[in-house]
Parts: sequence; structure tokens; C-alpha cells
Amino acid sequence: MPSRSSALFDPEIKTIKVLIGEVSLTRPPNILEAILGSCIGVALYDSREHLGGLAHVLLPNSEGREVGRLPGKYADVAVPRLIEAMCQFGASPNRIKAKLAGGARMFKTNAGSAGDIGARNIEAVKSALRSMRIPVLADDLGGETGRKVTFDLLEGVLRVDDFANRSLVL
Amino acid sequence: MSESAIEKLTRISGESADRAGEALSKLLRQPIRMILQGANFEPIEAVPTYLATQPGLSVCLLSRVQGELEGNALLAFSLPAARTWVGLLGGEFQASKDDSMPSIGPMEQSMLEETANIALSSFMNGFAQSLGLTAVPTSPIFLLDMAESIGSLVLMECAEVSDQTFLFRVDFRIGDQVLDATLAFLPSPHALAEFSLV
Repeated sequence: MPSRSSALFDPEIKTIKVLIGEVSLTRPPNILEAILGSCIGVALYDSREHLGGLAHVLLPNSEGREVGRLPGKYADVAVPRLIEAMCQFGASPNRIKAKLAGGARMFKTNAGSAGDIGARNIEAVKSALRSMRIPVLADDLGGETGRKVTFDLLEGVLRVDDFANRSLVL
Repeated sequence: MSESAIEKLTRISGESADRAGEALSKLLRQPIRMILQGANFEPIEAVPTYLATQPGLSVCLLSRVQGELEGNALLAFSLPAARTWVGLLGGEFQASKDDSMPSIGPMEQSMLEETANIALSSFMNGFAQSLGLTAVPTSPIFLLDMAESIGSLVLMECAEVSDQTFLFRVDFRIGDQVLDATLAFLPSPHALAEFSLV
């Protein structure tokens, strides 16, 4: 289910990079990190359990396709899978809150399906969270540049940086 | 895909890389070599890491390849490599107000786009001809961002049907110096089917 889940309680790992299509969850002091373009970083957190997860979503809908070994690839699969994994480790759906980042339109010109994939990903992730009744506390979505997100599990803070030195704390 | 097919594709892509190097050598009027680093199936989550030659920003020139050998071709330079390359062409990055934010003028951007045009066209034409297929790269799109963030764009098509993609990777050498630049081609699932007939 979550990739590299053996990292969940490994005290040696401090920063876990969440690659395209991956889902990872962990506890503090560990940190989850991802670099996003048109992808969406879905950060979920249970503040009582201090348990958080990050899904790196590449595409909006699986349309029934198998996800294979990358449970985070499609928004409609990644969100429920991440919630399910967190609940397996003690989280409660009633306490889980979401923060989102990514979904950039990397091409300034209209490039067909590639041009609007960021917007489609945003809508698909929000739709999946709504259906699971997970509130979105904050987001940094859209735009035209990539982002690096760092999810600090001590307080559930999602830091978003882009190459223009714009830095947000969600 | 059979091992013999992969071997043939590796040989052809190596020859195509040589052609691209020769074309760039004419552009720069000094010897440029392009060395094939890999021609194989790779997990999609690893691809952005291959494209990011260094941490931080990259200059990426992205071209959609149309025809029977369709897919996405990408030329990625680390910022220092892009600066070096532009310098070799007689250009220069402008000083930026913020040291962390480079300013690449339209002339320099055009130099990089033309480099990509030559490199990608030479590589894809050689590759396609060897296979008896057609390949027409479109004009490159200039992107300045973290290479890993751009990686998602080139992976979308393959990722819809698979967790892995066939990736050709080529490194640049100027003399004995390795440039932090890479050329990559990711064929579409349709084109991969053509490869299976190799």
C-alpha cells in the first residue's frame, strides 16, 4: 500500500522523498518531501496521532485502471488509499485534515491535454477529498512554476517553495 | 520487448547520439560528443531524477515528437551548464536583481532553443531513419524550473498505461569535460509497440 512503508517507524530516516505516484506516511521527527509540477501533493494529517501522509498525484482519474505499484498515481485512488493507510496506523477519518500544493500549468501556451493537466488534477483531488469528507485547510495551487513541498509532521505544517524564492507556510 | 530488440535500439540510439554530437559540433565549431548513457525500461518515478542533472533549477527544452516514432523529447541543462553553453555561442546571462533568480534574455533563450532544435532533430531523424519510421520534433518549448517538476509533463502519456517507460538518455561532452546536460526521449505507448517490431 504506502510505498516504502518500512520507513514508517525507522528512526534512521529523517527526510522521505515522495516520488511521482508514491504515497508515504510517517510520524515526527520525520519529514516528507516532494517536487511538484503539474502534479498535486496531497498532505493529510491527524493532529492527535501526529501521523501524516503525502501522496504525489500525477493524473486525475484511473478510469478503472489498475494502479500497479504506484498507489498515488491517480487522484481518485491516491486519496482513499492514503486515508485507509493512515487509519490502519491509528488515525481517524474525523480528525484528518488536508493541505494541497501543485497543479501548475507549466506551459504558458495551450498544449492540449498537457496544458491543462494541472487544473484537472486539482479538480480530481478536491473531488476525492470531498467524497471522503476531508476538509482542506489550506492550499497553494495553480500558477506556472514548479514547487518543492516539505511536510513537517510535528505540527502538520506544509512548506511550499518555488524557484522564485516564493515561500509559503500552510 | 526482446533483449535483441533492446540491443538494437541501444546501438541505433548510440549512433543517433553521435549524429547529434556532430551537428552540435558544427554549431559550436568545436568537438561535442554525445554519449548514450542508457536505453532501457525505467520506472516512471525515477525519470525526473534522471532529468535533474543537479539540484535546483534547470533549463529544459521540451519537444513533442510526432509521426510513427511519437513521444516526448527533452534537452535539460543545469543552470551552470546552460550558462556555459550560451557563453560558447557568444551569449551571456544577464545579471539578476536577485542572485537566486537568473535572468535569461530572449537572445540567450533563442540560442538554447536552437540548440535543442538541432540536437533533438538530429537524434530523432537518425533514430527514425534507422528504424524506417517517421519522426518530426516540434519546435522546442523553453522551460526554466526544477527539472523534477517538469518530469511530470513528459511522463503523463506513458504513466496512463504503465508504471514504467522506455527512456533514452544521452550525456554531453565538450572535449573531456562532462557537461551537466542530458537529452532524453520517452516514446509513447504507441511508438513502443513499433519498437516491438524491431
